[in-house]
Amino acid sequence: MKYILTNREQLTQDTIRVTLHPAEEHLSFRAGQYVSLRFKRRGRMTPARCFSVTCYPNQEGIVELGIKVEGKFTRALNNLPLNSEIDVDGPFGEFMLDPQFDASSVMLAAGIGITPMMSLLRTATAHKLNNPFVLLYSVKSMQDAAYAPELLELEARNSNLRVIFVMSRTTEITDAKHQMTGHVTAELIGRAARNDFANTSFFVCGPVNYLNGMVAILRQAGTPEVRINTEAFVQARSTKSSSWFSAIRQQLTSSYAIGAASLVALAGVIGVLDMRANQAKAAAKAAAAQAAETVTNPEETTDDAITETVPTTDTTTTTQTTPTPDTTPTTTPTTTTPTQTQPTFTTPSRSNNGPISSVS
Amino acid sequence: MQLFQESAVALGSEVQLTFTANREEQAQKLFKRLWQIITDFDERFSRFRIESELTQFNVHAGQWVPISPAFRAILAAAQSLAQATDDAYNPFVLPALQQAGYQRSFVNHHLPDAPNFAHRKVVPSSALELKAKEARIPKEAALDLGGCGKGYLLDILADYLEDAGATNYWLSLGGDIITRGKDEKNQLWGIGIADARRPEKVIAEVRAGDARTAIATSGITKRKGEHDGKPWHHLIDSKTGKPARTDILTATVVAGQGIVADVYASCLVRLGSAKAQSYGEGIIKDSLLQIDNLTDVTLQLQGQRIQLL
Repeated sequence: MKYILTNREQLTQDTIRVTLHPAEEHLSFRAGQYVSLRFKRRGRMTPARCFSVTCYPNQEGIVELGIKVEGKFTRALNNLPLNSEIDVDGPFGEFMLDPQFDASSVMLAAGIGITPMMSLLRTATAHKLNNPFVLLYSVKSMQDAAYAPELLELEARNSNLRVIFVMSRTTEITDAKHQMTGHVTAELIGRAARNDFANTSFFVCGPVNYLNGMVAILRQAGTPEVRINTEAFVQARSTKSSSWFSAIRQQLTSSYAIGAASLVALAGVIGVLDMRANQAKAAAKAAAAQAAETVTNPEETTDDAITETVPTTDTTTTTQTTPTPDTTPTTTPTTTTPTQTQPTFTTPSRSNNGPISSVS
Repeated sequence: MQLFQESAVALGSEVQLTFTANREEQAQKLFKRLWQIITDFDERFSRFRIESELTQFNVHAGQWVPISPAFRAILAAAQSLAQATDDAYNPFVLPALQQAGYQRSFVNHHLPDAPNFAHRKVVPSSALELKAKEARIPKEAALDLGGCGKGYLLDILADYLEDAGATNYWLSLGGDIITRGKDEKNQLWGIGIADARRPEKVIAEVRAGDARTAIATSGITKRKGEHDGKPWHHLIDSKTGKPARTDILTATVVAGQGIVADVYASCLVRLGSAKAQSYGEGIIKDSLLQIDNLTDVTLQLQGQRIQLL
């Protein structure tokens, strides 16, 4: 679908926020999903690249993305004039929250892996879900923490959300309530999950090595597979050959590449490819567990701050984001009973242009 | 307050969307989103689309398949109602529908043929295995959501409108209707009920109250045909696997939710007049049956049998 690049702003030194408005129709996405982008560069369409949507699913179809600028495509996107047309396809992906099943969640994000979490948390906050969330956001320093102000604002609005920035390359702490130094460890995750790995859902997103490490920790802690949700980010290396083909080839094993590859397939098989991506993701999870990589923490300082303020887990009530009708018709509905008049049979009163119920 | 209305063909039938709003700009935004929801629903759950999540799920019968939250929600709703009706409504009737002859959409003839599951069989609704993020059906089965889909979608559309602050509306998906509130003249909506044999003629009217009200009419007079010389209609008796033998032409049900009205309307037709009269007591607000016993047409409403002409 045709979208227009309407805004672009710098979030960190190498991360930008891109806002797209629909030119005509718009796609509807769910929190946690991603889309693919293509645009004209030097008269030719670029290959497609995939990015997680960061905004709340909205009526206007506006798409906001967080993008790390480090390759040909993203540099070109960063230089694209405003009001340029961009082809957006999707949405893709199943990195989504089920408010009932995922009653209590810990989100593990590294670097630009924060992007799908932004949409999930914005949606949960907007819908006033009672589900508790703890976000452990791994960054080098606060200068690299994209969306830091927004995350703190979400936490201020959502008493069920706790945000912790885990900084690996600095010892400077400016906000003891929200920052700690070191790396994410099994113990830290355990505290965030109240040591209830069986009933806590985990959402993990970031570079492949990070992802493998987190999944290994979760599996070792006995987390059921169905509770582990992953989204791997793989960035293509820039090459001297200036070949778009080689960049794409390097991405062929990424879950995003599978989504992008569906663009060149017939429209009728898009659903099948997406389903296969999920199956490949499940296989990748199993492979990650086999090659466990323990994350060490040589610079860890006390994490007492998080233990004092991890939100109280309340799993007794949830609110669904997806409208679901009441499907337990065992009793008379308790909503206000409408007042009904007796119908007329011979000459129905048709005082307004109301509907006619006929065989559907 | 002004009245705004749009209509189009979607979901294989005529769709009408009507509501009151203060400004046209606001109305246009609402219409745009409503049509988007309808289109998304059709693309995701139509059995006539090869790429739909439903069709792909049927293709992979026998396996655990990852499902979207939206698909899980409608599957759970369908199974719940199937169990409540003791499988008088059963979403597993697709093989029987196709065996009977209902293989292509009545409207979207341009769509390429979806996979044929006529060689599979009807199984009990309990055969659907549902987990949080995946589901499985027996490899010899196939699902169809046509028996509850319109009602389910009506509830979603109504939820959306009310969340957006629009609380005076009526929405019709091919004759299944959901209403709330009043028209631009502050009068309650009146919902006509079409004559089974002459749909342009209204034989009765239900005047809904302020609260959300769903009205669904099911019957054997529209989606029907002939296959290998045998007549068929689309209301399958899941116990026989064949089109239900019934003396009811149409049944209209008034209920609090669209999916309830939709499912129970078709159940009443399948049951026939003898059993339909007392069926669903306490669940259905009102029902109206148009019965053909070859000698007269009888209306029954709120427990009273009324003879017409």
